[in-house]
Amino acid sequence: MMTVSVAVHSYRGGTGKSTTTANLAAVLAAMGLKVATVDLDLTSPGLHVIYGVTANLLKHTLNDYLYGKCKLSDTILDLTRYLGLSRGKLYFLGSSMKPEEIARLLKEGYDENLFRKIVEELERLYNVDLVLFDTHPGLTEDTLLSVISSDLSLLITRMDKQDITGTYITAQVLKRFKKVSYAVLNMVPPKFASIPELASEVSRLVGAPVIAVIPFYEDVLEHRSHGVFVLKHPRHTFTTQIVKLAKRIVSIIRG
Amino acid sequence: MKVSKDKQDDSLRNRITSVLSSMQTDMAKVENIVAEFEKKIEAIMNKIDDLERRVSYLESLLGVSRESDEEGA
Repeated sequence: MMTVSVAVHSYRGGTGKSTTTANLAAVLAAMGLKVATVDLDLTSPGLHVIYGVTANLLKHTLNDYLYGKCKLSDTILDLTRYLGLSRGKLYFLGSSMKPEEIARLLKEGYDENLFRKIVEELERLYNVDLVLFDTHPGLTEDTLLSVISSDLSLLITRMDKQDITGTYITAQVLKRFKKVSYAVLNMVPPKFASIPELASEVSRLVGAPVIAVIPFYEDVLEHRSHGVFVLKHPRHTFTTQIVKLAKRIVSIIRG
Repeated sequence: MKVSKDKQDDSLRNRITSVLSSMQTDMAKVENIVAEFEKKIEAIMNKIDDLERRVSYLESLLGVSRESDEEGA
């Protein structure tokens, strides 16, 4: 299997992109796959918090690589054992939270081939099956670079007028670039989540197939990003939903 | 590694900017999507309310209540 890159994106912030990315990667790894997650929310990174990766552990960030302070391979952290995974592999590439480094990135920009290079390096060094890019929300040029450079996109959307509109617009933009995108309905009010036609109706409205309907769980909110939820609560229904999503993604990739 | 934005004439960056600027999004269509979404949600809510009413009616016929069952559980 060649390395496949998946952008986890949304039009607006707060949709649960990072939570979905971290949990999805853990499930995919637990299924025996070699997975890498890349924090491309370069202006407001947060994936490392969910993984419990401290500054001590995150010795080199993507920012360091972009400014020639380290090699790309130095930014790759193997979190498999750290997270207690007994199968598969889970790698992580983090970004800097330092305001001065974020400001520099915003001011000077970066090589648009970054995303391709990350995927190539992960494939060359670790034969990774899947790379998940946790992106910055919206339609800015920088974030679209990462989405369009990926093989497929997951558009995370809530049951909210603003999200639905934004997801429609994002799907339209991606179609212009002939990119494959799927929608994931997240934080769905539980009484809506069980309605069978919800996925098909929203698919039609936003112009991208809805491949998962994930209800809102207070337990996930109460978890407050203290570790990867699915690993701490393997029997929770949120975990069941993420497992279903992971299986769907694998079936899409394997055709 | 760092590449200045203005040096990438033929880049994907420029293509993105160019595609975005030429999109001529039909906002009436976008507003229509939102209106349709609202209608669907309303229809779903009505359906849920209707189901709730039916369940309550059946419960009253059978002399059971979900609340007492949940408490018992």
